[in-house]
Amino acid sequence: MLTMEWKKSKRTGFIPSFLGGALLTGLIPILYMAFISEIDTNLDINPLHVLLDANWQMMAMLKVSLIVVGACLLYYVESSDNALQKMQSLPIKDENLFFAKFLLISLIYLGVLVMEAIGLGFSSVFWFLEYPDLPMELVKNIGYMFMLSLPAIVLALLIASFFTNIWIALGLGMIGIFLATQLSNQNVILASFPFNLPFQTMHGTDAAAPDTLIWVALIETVVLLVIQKVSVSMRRYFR
Amino acid sequence: MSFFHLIQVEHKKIRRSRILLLLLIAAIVLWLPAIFNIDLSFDTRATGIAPEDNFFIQGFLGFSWFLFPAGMVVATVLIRQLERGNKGILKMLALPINPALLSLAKFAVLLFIAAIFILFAVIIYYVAAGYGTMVNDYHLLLSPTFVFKVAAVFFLVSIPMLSFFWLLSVCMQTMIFSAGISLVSVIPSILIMNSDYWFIYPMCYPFFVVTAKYGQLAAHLSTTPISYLPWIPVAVGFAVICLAFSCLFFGKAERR
Amino acid sequence: MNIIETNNLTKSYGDFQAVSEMNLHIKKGTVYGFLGPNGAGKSTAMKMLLGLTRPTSGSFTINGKKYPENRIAILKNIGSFIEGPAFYGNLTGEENLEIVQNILGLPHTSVLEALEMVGLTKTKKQLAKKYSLGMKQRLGLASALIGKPSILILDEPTNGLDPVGIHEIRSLIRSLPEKFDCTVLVSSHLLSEIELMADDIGILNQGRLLFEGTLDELEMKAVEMGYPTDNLEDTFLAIVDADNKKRGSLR
Repeated sequence: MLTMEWKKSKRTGFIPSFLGGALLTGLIPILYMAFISEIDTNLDINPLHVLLDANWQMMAMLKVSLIVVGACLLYYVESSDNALQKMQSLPIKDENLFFAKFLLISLIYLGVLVMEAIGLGFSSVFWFLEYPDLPMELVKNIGYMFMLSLPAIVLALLIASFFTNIWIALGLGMIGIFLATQLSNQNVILASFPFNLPFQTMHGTDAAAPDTLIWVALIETVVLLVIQKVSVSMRRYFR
Repeated sequence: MSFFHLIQVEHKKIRRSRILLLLLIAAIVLWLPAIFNIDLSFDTRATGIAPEDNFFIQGFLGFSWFLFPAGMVVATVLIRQLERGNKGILKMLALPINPALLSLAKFAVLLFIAAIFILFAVIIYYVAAGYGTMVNDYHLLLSPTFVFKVAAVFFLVSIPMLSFFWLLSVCMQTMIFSAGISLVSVIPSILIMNSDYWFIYPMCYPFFVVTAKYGQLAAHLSTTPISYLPWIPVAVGFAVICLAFSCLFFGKAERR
Repeated sequence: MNIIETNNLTKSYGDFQAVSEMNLHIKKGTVYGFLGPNGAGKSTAMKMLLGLTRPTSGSFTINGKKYPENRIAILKNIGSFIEGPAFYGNLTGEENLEIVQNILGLPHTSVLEALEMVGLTKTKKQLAKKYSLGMKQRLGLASALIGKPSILILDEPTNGLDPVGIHEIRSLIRSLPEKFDCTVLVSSHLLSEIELMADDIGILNQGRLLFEGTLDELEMKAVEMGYPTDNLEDTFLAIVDADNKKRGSLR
């Protein structure tokens, strides 16, 4: 299923967009250190905390936008020449089609995070004093951010699967992103809004401990997947 | 066919697209957090701004930084998809109209959508401010002349950005690229705005203007004041070049 | 033995009945022609059989299996082509078929076979969106024929083809039951076309099945009712016209 989704995304600009996005977010911390930062890098501080505090908002914003646009695109390919109808007349389950798309975006998103880790790692090593736990810290952060982004991926796909008009799906996604930037991070419930979770960093969220948010993210992912499954049968009912 | 007539035709095409509903939802989402966090509007010790000004300007900052540009990216996707979705563009190009005029007419629709979006934001602002006035027993409503003046300036300075979005959607065959690049171009505006060369980056004009207004209203806040030179010539030149190229390239790919 | 049977199958949208109380009996190993003017409900009926539209009331069985309980099992044996071709425009003809092949779990040779059957072998590397109308139609057909399913549901498969193409596809459909031992349900608004392909026909007008049986039976009925019989097209038009008049008088 996954390879099939990969094949379907050919020539749509899906892969290049994620690649471009990955390069861009990877560059943000480097550009920040090169041109903007006025921080004294000779202090004994955790470079990752500094870099994330300064740049994570923008990096997360870029990635969530990427998720929304990617999700819209994957469903746009299905609906534009009626291919979805063909899929529905084949012996596969709608929810598997959805799940394969979810896996595809998740995997490619992991790639984006790795690029970011490289950017962050490079900036830390190049500009800051040596920080012994850096590799471990980076891996932990990447894993954490990946988990916290899963609900956003499911939600974006869910919206895209509901609306065949791509501009409506895209518009709702944008509104969701905007809402995420406006919501306070001081409150666990507000921080748990799926599009808001990717904005949280491991050290920077006051509202809840990291493992709480991991649980929240996992539960949200499962709940959204269940909603998707239910909605498939509901839509079949109304078709 | 006159240009005005053509705009009417283009306007008809966005019927039942639910774009207005979408923009209305966006405008509501813009002001809802402002109502929830209304206490923050009264906390003005650091900036020295009047609470009613603060309430208005904070909302418009969010609007100009992300929601408005993102909404306009969606609107460009809409206009493009309506035309290419069922090959409507082929029909249009086969009719005796000048493609350049057609491109301009579509751009006019984009401007129309932008104006409506700003209008929605203003209307919902008055609803939100009215509610805030009732709840807090403090007059939060600003005079319409002031608000509409800000809105009008906001609309004008967004035109170069919109012409850039339009150029991208005309030139790029792959929709995700044009939408993606437009979006990506918006996100760093917050960085560029603070540099000395903000005027060469049209994506930050709306945000810049609102921020400058913030600086004017807040006594203890110093923001870069607006300098009309070389900004205005650069902005006009940018918009004209973008529009000229979009007229030139419009329908090129389909007529290959 | 009937491989497809419907029992008072009905689909209504509001107070408009697209298909009303339809009882089809399609025998195994035959070509069944579904005939009716545009908007008679042919596509809607076919979509219900594929589970693309939910019946408002009534039921059907395919190969003894019931929908919706056995949706996946039913679809495993059906190749379909509904309302014009459905495909991914960004993929080539071959890649489009590979997707269907993957889902059905067929060997890769089936893709080449299907391309060969509809005559797209030479253009398999072209993007589907660049295909001509006729080629898109052929691609749609290929995605129905791939893997030689035991049941084929084809909605106006010759639309948009040139006379040579129409002839080719027609002969192909005609030969399918013998070659692959399959049953074909094919729709058209032209009796002349159905006449050349089908063993049994069903005539549909405004959602209702007016006639079901062989061509000979149709002729006999026409004589009985006093419709013209020297030309079957005229017979068909007369039946539909009489039905329209009857409904008109009811209103």
